[in-house]
Amino acid sequence: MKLTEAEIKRVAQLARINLSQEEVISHGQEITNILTWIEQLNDIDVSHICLTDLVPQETMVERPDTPSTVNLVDSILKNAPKSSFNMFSVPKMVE
Amino acid sequence: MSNLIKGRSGLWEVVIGLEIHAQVSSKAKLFSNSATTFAADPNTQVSFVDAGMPGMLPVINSYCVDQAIKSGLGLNGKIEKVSIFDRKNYFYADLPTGYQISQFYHPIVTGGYIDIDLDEKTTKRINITRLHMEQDAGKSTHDLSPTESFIDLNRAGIALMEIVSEPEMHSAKEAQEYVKKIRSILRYLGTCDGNMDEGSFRIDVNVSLHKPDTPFGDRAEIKNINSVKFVGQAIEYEIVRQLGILEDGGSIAQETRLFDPAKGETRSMRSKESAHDYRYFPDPDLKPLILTDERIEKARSEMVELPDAKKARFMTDLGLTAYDADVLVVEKETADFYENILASSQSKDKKLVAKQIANWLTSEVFGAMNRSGISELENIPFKAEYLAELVDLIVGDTISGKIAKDVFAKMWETGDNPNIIVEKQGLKQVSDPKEIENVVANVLERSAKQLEQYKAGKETLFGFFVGQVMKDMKGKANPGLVNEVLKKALS
Amino acid sequence: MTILTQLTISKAKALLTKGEISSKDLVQAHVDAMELKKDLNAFLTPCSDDALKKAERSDTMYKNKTARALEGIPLAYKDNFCTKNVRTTCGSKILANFVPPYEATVTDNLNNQGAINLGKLNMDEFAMGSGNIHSAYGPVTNPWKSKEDPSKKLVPGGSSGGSAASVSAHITMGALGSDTGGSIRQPASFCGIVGIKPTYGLCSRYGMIAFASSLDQAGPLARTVEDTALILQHMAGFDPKDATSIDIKIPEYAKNINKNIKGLKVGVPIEYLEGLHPDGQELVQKGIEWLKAEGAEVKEISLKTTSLALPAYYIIAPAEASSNLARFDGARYGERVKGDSLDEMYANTREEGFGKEVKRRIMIGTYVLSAGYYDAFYTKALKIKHLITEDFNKAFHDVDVLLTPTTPTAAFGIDEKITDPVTMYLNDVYTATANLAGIPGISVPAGLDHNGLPLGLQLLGPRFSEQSLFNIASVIEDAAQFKGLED
Repeated sequence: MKLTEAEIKRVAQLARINLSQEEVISHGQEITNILTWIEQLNDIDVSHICLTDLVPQETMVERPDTPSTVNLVDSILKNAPKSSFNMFSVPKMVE
Repeated sequence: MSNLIKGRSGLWEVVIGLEIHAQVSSKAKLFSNSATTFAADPNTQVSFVDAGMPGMLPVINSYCVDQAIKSGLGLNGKIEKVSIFDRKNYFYADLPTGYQISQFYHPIVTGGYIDIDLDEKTTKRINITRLHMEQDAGKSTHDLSPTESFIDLNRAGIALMEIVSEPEMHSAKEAQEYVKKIRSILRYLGTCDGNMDEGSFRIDVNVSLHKPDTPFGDRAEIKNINSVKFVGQAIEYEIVRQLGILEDGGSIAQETRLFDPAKGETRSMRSKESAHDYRYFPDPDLKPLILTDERIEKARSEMVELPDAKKARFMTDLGLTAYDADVLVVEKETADFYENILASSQSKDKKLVAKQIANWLTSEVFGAMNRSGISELENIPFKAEYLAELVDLIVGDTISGKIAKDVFAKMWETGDNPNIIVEKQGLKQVSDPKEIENVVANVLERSAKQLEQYKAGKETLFGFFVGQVMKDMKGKANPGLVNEVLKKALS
Repeated sequence: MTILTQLTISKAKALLTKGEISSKDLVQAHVDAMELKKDLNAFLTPCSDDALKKAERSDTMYKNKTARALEGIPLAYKDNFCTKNVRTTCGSKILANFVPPYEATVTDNLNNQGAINLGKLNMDEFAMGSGNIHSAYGPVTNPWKSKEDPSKKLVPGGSSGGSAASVSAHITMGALGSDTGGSIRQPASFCGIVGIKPTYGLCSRYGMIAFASSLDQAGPLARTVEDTALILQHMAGFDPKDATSIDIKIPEYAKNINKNIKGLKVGVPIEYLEGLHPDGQELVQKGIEWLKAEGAEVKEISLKTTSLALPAYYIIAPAEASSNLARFDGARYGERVKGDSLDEMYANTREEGFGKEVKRRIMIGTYVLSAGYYDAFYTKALKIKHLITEDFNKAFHDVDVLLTPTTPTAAFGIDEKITDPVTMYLNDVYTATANLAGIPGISVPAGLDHNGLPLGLQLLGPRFSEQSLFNIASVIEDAAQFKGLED
């Protein structure tokens, strides 16, 4: 199965990654190769398996409804590239 | 009752489906231990998990799971013993991990229904598709700078229950009734406080039009409406907008719109994703949620009587009218308050007292609360049982209904027990036939002229005599007896 | 005279307890080695000053007889473990200056036992790679050299290349790595040391930067089986902050090592021998002989789902990674590249911040999850994962443990131009199966190939069979008498 340029560009847009035209082509080629290799799974019949049947042996850990009283605002913002008013700053969004 | 809309080319049916986002009444968030208090300072209720920092992991809040189970039971849905959390992947500044943890393929509740009142006599069943749990997103602020938007993650990660209806509503009124009923049920259960002003109860409305017996039309989605009134306005606006486009031969863009309360209009949102490919897949940081029968039964045992059942009981057992029962059951606090008062009444005729207390509560007490600016029943200036005592005094013929109003006013002013007020002010009703006979005789004696006119046929003068008796007795005469005695005296 | 960097952890602990050596000297010796062998590029962020300070404190603990299990022992941590107030890059430019305000649970556990962090180790960016050639900070060099061309720089394996190289080169006494498709075991094999990927859920993933959440596991690398066991027993354990963490008592692996394997049933899956290089074949044969000599029964078995593992892995891992790496967008932490709009900022930041291999895997992952392909790829791969797990379960009804080669070949050249990513991916052919099945796997150095480069033998066991793996690995260790690199 060969990936078209349009598909590569769509995937890059979904993933928010800029690709140059060369990268579009090289990625397209590489991903096509990988997908072709993966296609060997096509012949395996797994129709009898339902995902909700695949419950693990151990049940999931849950937490109690106890709120933390610690204010982490400084640690939260410490690594922020840009912030003001104790909030993260990003380019203006229009809704 | 037809819900069809008349257009130029014929009749159209409006099809409405609602998605309600109800914030779970938990103290901590769905997958982290941050607090959920409203209006905290920005980013002060954010953990490293909420901020989507590297290596951070979600762990589910068991209270939230239990509230979802209770809500599902209250909505008559099926509790799925195995449900799975999926990631809904998209990029936005208020979504720190780049995905929202939700339940797409296998939600915790499937199916369900509620009954809405179309009028006093008719109800309509609206089916529910599903209820699932998901994270709320953070908040973005756009008006602090011309070039920047600011992100507060306090809300990010708060637990939401998303309740999706089948597209079975056909008018703004039906949609509004649906919203009110869902809100009432969740408030009864205590699983969501339904506070629309604080954003803990938000509605997305899907509206489309089609000609009857044709496939459904393309729909527009109006997001994040936060009042019942606006739900109605948004739908009405959409109907007009869509009808206009369709009658002109155009087609409805399947898009997301926002409702502008100031203008009463909906407008198109700049699309977040040109292609909505959310790439849902099971969140590998979480395991499937497996519910035991015990857990579900425990939730069931904690269920309270819901509004519909309570209304039915009020009507059958207490003889209340549908209208009165409706007013009382809208809020569980009101219904509970009412039943507590009823329980403390000493009168033998429960049905009579039930009706009276209902009236006093919904007209006099509510009225007084409005005037005094009191919003909570627990804050009224006298003990709840006093209302029962007041009604007992009326029903026991100790005071008349008219006098009771004065006593009530005094109760509101002083907080005193009605019995004490009646004693102090000597307001007891006179029910001694002999005493009334004397006064009646007195009145008729001095009212010879009116008596003559009455005997000549002017029957309306009966009221005049009653009034005179009442005046002489300072309103404390038992009105029923007065009527009886007067009738006899005039016959 | 004791050459401090030649000690094993257990030996060093004994000497420290007796007071014959000091932690300060021990740590200093390793700090010196770190400086001396800088050219291997194993370390991204040395923590020498802090390490020496901690060593002094450890010496006090020994004096006061309050020393903990790993008191004063220098270890090093792969740079995908968030270390509080110490820069953590995950081998990527996008986190070049990220300083976590929190500590990963596994490193916290070790620190609480007195272990000392020498520094953060180089790795393939976001743990994606099998040669540590995809780090944004340059490749790591294997301290081993081949006989045919001693000047040629070889890969240490990946993605825990820094971990394996530093242990092998005696810069650190032990290291933490992570294993998603083989990233502990494969470099352990390439560098002639021991590495174990524990049962999925045994070690907490809290604070370990996620690559593929359903496959990632933290694990130790060291020069001996006993040292590896010692580190594992102190880093593992239930963590309520990780929903996939399993609540099970962690045995005293090191103390409990029992080399009596009489009657042990060992299976050798024939699928793992098909097409194996002669050096590998020979090594597996040796392994079989060693185990038989100690009373084990060895037989060939078949794991029919073996060939499905890598394709399934290369759907599941990139899919999960594409979602896990969405948070690296320049908004809240990490490097940001400006953009006029939010989307531009995201795309510019990720273009600059991510390397080629990471971009490639994100693209594949995004593609296989996208509408129209989800069922064909991702759901299918999950179901195949289930088949593989069942296949192993069945095998373990028949035998107690599996013996396989760890890697198809020994270390290859850093500059070997591998143009087809699939060729690179095949490095994981023997290791990825264990990640998919969630079972533990250990690689123990067993011999050298014809070029004098290390090759490991891998043991795979059922879930929570780590003790058994350590036991059998010790037998192989004794029999193989593998000579690591001397200082």
